Amino acid sequence: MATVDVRWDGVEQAYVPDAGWRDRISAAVRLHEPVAVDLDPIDYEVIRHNLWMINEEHGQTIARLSGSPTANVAMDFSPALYTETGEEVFFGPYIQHLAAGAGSAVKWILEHYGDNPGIHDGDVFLENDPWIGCNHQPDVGLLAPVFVDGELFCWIANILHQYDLGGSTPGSFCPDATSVHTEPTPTPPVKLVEAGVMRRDLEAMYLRKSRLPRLVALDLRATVAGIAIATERLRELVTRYGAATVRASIEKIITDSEAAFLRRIAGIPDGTWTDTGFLEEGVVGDRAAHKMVISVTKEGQTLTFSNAGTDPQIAGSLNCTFIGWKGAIIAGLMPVFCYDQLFAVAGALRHARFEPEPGRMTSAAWPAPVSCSPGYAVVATVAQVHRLLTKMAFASDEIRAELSPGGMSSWPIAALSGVTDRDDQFASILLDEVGGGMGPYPWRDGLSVAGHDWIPLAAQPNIEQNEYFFPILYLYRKLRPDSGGAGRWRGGNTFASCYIAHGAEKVTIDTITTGQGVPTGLGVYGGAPGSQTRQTLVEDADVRSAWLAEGRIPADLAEVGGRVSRLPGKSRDNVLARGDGAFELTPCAAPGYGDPLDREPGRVAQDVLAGEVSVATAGDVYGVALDDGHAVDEGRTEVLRQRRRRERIDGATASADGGDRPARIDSEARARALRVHEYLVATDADLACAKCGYVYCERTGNYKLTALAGDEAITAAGSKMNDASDYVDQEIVWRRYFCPGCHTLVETDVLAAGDPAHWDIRLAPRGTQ
Amino acid sequence: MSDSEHIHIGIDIGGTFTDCAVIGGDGHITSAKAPTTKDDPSRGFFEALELVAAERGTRLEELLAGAEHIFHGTTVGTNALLERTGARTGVLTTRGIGDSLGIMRGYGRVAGLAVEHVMRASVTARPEPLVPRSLVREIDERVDAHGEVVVELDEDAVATHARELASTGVEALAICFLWSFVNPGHERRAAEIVREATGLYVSCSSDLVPKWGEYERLAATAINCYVGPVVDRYVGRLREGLERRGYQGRPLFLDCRGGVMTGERAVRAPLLTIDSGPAGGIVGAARLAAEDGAENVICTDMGGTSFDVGLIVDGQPVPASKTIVSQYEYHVPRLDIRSVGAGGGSYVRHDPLTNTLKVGPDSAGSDPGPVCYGRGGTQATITDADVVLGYVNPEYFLAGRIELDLEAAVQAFERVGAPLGLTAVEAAAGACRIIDHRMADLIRQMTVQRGRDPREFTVYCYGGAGPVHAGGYARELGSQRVVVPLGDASSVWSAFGAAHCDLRHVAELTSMAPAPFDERWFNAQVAQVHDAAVATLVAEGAAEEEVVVSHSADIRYRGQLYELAVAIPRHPCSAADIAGLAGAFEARYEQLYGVGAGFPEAGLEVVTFRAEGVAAIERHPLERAGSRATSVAPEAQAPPRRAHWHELGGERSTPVYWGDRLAPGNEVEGPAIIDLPETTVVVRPGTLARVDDHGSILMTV
Repeated sequence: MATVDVRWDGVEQAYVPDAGWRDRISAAVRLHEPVAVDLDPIDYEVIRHNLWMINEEHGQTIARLSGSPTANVAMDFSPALYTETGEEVFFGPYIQHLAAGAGSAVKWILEHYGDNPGIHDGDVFLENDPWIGCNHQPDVGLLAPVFVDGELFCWIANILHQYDLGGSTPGSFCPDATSVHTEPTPTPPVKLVEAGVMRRDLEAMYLRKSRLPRLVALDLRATVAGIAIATERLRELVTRYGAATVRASIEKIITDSEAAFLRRIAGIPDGTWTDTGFLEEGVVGDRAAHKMVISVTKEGQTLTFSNAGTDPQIAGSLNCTFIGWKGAIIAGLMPVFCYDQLFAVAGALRHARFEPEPGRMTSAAWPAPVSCSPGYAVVATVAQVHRLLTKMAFASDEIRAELSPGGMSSWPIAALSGVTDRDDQFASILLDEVGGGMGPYPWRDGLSVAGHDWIPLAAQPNIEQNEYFFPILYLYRKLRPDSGGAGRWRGGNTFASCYIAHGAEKVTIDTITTGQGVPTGLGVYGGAPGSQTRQTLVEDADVRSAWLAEGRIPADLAEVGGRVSRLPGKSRDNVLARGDGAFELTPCAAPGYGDPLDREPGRVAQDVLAGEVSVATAGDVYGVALDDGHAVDEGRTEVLRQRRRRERIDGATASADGGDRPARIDSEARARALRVHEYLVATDADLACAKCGYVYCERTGNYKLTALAGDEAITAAGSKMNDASDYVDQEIVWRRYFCPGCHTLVETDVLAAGDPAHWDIRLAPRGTQ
Repeated sequence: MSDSEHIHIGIDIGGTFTDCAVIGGDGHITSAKAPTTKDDPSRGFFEALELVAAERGTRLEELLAGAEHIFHGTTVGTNALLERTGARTGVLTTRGIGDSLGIMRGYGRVAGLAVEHVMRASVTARPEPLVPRSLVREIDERVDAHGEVVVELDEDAVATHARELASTGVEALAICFLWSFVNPGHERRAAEIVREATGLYVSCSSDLVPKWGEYERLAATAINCYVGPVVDRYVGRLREGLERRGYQGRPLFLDCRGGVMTGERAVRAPLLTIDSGPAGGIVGAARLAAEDGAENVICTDMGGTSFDVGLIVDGQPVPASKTIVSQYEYHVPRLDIRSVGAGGGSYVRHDPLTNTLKVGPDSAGSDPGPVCYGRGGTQATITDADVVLGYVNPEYFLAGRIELDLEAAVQAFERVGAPLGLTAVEAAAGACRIIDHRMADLIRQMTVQRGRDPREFTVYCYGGAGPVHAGGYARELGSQRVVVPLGDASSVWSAFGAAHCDLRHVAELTSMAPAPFDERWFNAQVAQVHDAAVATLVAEGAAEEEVVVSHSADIRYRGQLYELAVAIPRHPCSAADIAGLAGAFEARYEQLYGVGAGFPEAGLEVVTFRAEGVAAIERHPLERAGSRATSVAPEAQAPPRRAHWHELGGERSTPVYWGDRLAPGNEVEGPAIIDLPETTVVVRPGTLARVDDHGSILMTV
């Protein structure tokens, strides 16, 4: 292949600081370098807590001053503290994948602006350039250098999602854009505040982009105030303890987090882990499945992330830039490696490398459209990273308990618009999806409708809130049983919201969604995928007169009758008219973990009692027979499980033989070997079943090739699954891999029929580490 | 007025002790502490009364015969909730939302948790459900956002479900329908049907919390039902016991807004008793601050497991509306009291990973308690640090009721300090600095969020450990005045405060509308809450003309979620009064968030109307010393102790005083320690402590 001059400089490709970027910082910028200080442990603890509180005050100032549901319900913002060279110290418990943006922008500013326009005390830079410092254009970053004694001491920054900054679609998610030119125009960093004074010309230029300039101005005030308060508090801290001590404390926050990270990866063998997923419906009418691949190579103390194998960027809504992709990786790393370090991710990032391929869906080059990235590519990558780390870090005794294949894996959007009977215009989205299903862990089930680990504090709006702001009437918002992926540990179930038009002649619904065909929430170690997002419109059914006026409320859309359509991911101008029809949205659920036939029968019975799992699923998927009182019938369960084990390998075949290897290793050898997978151990030479000792292949091989494999339709993965063929043209299958020795379901893939097994675990030869 | 007439008695039940404070007709205060009796708290209640009677040299029956009022802060509701020993509760709700209580808006797994817990997603979980899903029943009925009935109430279903639930052992039934605060008709009718069909304890969300947001209403109503039968039985026992001992009056019960209510109301709305104890403390502080002329007070209560902070601004306790208890959130009027896990029992540990000292957030509580208690605790705590540093006298802790093991505390801190190369004393001093900062951070957050500077406040400190640490956290804040209110009585402060609460009822109603507000409509909304507030107090025996009502409205910019309470100047309002609310709102908004922060173009909307009725109870002036001493009497001087002062770089032989022998007017210069029977006041170097006419210890930092 011809060598193309690819420059990761934030112009065409996104900005990826290279090894020598610091050398290009202008001499005009004097950096405060950390010096060795004999740091008193008590001072440290006090300063650490204080820095955290400063960042919290920063965040709370934004939330209160903005007052918007975006900041207050969805928590779609991030206040942050960075070192003088943009290392990530604290973010706070808000949307975690915003974290990459501001740190990248800080480095870019340092590399490019030291001389002109200069970096000085009292300056605040504004940017919303997805190739430099944010996920998508509505995420506006403010970055303020803080100087102490003429030296650049640290950066205080924030990112806040704005209501609208222009582009083809109100709200600035532009699903119909085929290039960035019909989306909001990205703004590279500009010095909005100069020596403490906001420049009117630049503010005017910024506000002019928006359909809602006054609201955007208010949010700008909120974010500037947040920076000001945090800067003031930080100065007080420095005055009190001295710059050297505060900087040394920041360094220790990072090195403590780094030490935790290193200890946590120490037990992990070298190798490469890969996850493959799909996004679909990039534009109206698109019926292709677009592949997203992410891999991590662990070599010694370094993790290298790559997106090689990902499909090229498309002229549609499924792309993100490298910045969004990196933010998603950070959001995945934090709960695993930094949960007890106040999410100070810089320690881990000192050992992380990023090697994006140019121009892929998850590293889109300018001028690809990227305004929709948070709901699709970024959230889907967060889920991918959860799976990737669940596989990579399984061998680490210390963090195995923190591993999860993730919860909601794409964020469906149904935008509602119209005019109410009271002549109020409305055009916005409901935020019900804030309450998604959580993923399971290797020791517990995923919680149903319990939020997301990457927006820890967000809360689902009340129905009464939505009915106040929108002319709709809910028929229900209920748990969706059987939607979470089945597994030894079950994925959290999702919910279904259903409403009719009420208080307006009509409500227009535009769908901006992906992942209805190919599931995005994939299970691990034999766990089933969570059910996909589903958007259902019923027309020709007058719920009001046939039901409500008769004193009844339908408990499910299926009872309503009428003409039922499953809306595609991208569709416009669907109409919910007064007195006609209903709309239901159910977001994708969380995937499962482990072989469902390994699930303790008592847990299945509890699930049935709690309404999380149906009796049918208990028998069909878990092989658990219940008596009339929903208690486990142990004898019948044993028989049923044996039958399910037999049935499921019927027709399953291995695509390769193991070659010249021992058939099994004994239990002692298994105990000595390294557990690298829920159901696999690695000896120096081989990969073998952790349960029965069956030897699959050499240590460095792909065990799936010698496992028994059988393809099923996606709908076989659970009773709430959509039929993938309703949404995509490629034939997508759910492939299950069984241990030839004990018939345990050890892993699954979702892939195009006929494609070879994904090579998800590729250990390095023993002795290379 | 003599000491033995018109007595006011306050009793507050805490985790370890049941505190009692008696204010005689002459303003003289006596106090006592009895162990809390968890199985039946009324035993501890009467035991504390016995003890206080003995302290006053009389018998319980005589004490009660002279008692004009008994004010009681009870934790039976809170305990039933936290320990999940409440009534078997069912819920009736609108068809389609039966899962809402269990879903908890998707964030119940983290609501109210410390950030360290929030960030570890793997271990977060929802609380044990108060009401299992199988006891939640959906009813066909629907009201819309404008209060119009969309689906008629299925009355037969209400009766059927109620009977069926009752037959399965349900004791209490919570009723919460969508939009019931706009149109309560269906809920009220359903309650009637349930009462006719069954003998269940019933609460309606529209009676209890007529506010926007079905989840919070559901949670409030379910909790109210869950604790209702328990509180009902407790109130009954208490009244019966008091009557048997000759008390003629009726006990009054504290609520979380710092008011009191009759037993009938406490049984109807036991939800309001949750978190009421700390509210009593704030009321006590406000009362004393009014006598002392302190307008702005930070009230701090440092107990065994937590540090609670409330504020008094311009003489008034600061209210709030959000409560999170056991991870359930609900919205009732309350005092704004926030807590961090920083108490005497907070654990101090060496963190091997970072090689630093960590304090809390978990606590040894009272069982096993600090190491020095000798009850099996082995992990160092803040109380142990106080002992190691020489602040707390091991031989005179809680008036000598508990002998402390100094040696064990020292050893515990040696273990903590060794990996850091710190001596036991250095490690203990470090732990105190860390916790003092943490407490200061909480206070700063609360004051700064209100646009206030903590330095403008006087710090009141009470609770067992408060006076030990107040000098430390006040200095961190830059506060110059610290008060240990009424000296030793500060250790029964919530009980003292309880005895100063007035009959109070806050009526609220959410009724949303955009500005400009129609005058008739506006006044009609205010009239609803006004009449409810007055009627409630009149029903409790207040004369109508005695009831003072203040009115406010929660207003916000349209489309936003932060509301500010704006005072309604009079009732009924003129058109000009109503128009003036916008200006008041914007002025307050700018005070909080800065000039230009507002968003007038969005327009305003009113959300909630509120009327706060108060029927004041006549109080006795607090006893004041008639004379002032100039010098400290010799008998007030205790043997000096070696104590550690980080300001002075180490240990010093430190003067110690018997606090109960210090006289008004006495001044003590820091470093010094004042030992009181129930607490210890640490006077830090550079601080001057003075005993005032009430016996309060004032420290000027």
